[in-house]
Amino acid sequence: MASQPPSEPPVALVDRSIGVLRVVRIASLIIALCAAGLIMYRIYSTPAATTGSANSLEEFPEHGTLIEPPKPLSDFTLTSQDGKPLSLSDLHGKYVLLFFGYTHCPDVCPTTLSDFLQVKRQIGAASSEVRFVFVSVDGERDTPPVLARFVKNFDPGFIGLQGDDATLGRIGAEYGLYYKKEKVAGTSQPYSVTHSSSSYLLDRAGRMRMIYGFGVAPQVIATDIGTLLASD
Amino acid sequence: MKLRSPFIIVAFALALGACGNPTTPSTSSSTAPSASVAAISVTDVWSRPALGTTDAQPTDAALGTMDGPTGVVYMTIRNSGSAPDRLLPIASPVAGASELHASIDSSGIMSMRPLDGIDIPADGTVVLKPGGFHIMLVGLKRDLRLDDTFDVVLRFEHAGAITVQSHVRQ
Repeated sequence: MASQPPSEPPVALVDRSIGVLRVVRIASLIIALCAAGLIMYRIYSTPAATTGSANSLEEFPEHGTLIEPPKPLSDFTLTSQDGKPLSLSDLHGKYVLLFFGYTHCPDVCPTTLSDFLQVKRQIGAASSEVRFVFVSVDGERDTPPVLARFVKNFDPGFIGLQGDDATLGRIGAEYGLYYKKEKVAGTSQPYSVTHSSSSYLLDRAGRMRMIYGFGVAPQVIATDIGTLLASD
Repeated sequence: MKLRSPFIIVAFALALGACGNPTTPSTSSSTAPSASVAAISVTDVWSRPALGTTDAQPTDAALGTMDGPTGVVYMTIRNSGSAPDRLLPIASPVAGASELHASIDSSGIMSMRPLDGIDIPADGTVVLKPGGFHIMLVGLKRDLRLDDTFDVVLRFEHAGAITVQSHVRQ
């Protein structure tokens, strides 16, 4: 896989500021090269075979976007599915795979959480180093008990957070988050929520490392996480 | 209606464009329930696990049936006839109601649009799948557990009613 190194390193690496520990810089370089190599590999190799299920997503993006250098994120605190407050900083020390959605969403959100489950299975025992977080942008309906049922239906270890407009409004721009409740004619639902559908991979320091558009294969995300874990 | 209509048109054009190839729907899986009436054949009908209102905790009661938990049904519909057909809203005993939807991805923003029907072109295949066309089950009356099967009654404008079994999987 590493037999095809990228012809030139990403410019961002060359321009990085000097005031960082050398070890961190070297580690970052290795990670970036690995990720760049992976991306090149995916671009120039035939598309990875899917698991053989019928839900092949060939028209969706094949890989995530590397955030280099890692992007610091504001801390936030929301109510989790057990009714207790949980802060993003509580999860520091673990990788975090994060998604914004809502439980009444029939298609995109369950698909993403199902993908998270497949990521977790593929990572195997090392998944103890990863937290899977679903942040609801529909806090009005997604109370902690509703969230608890929803996330537990995928994996008992998944974390559901009840988003509120004030918090989401404060942190949203850092994720490029968009969401809007819409009354849609022709549906029995009181409203539907249009929302950005990316997933975000945060590193152990709570910084954004990768962004995955909807439909990126779980195998790809699992491989990226495995690469990061191996470089720790 | 608003700015999104171009995206809808593009998404539909892409979806229908894929139907130009008379691709054979996968029928290899022995567990895939299938049915065939007239020129329409339906294969690979599946749903994701979901929790129904019977599992509801007390705090969910206020949500009401029509705002209860939702489920989804995906499938592959093949029209081998020479005339187009159209999938109309469906019924299932597991849900209070169901709706035909399309998920529309415009630059990473997902929105949902209800549809009156889904056109199945002559000699064409339409796949209902994650991130695209799907049937939303509204007000699930019972849990959909892994490996469950349940009936779904499809209605087509010309082919009429076709009952298929949906298989619950991740």
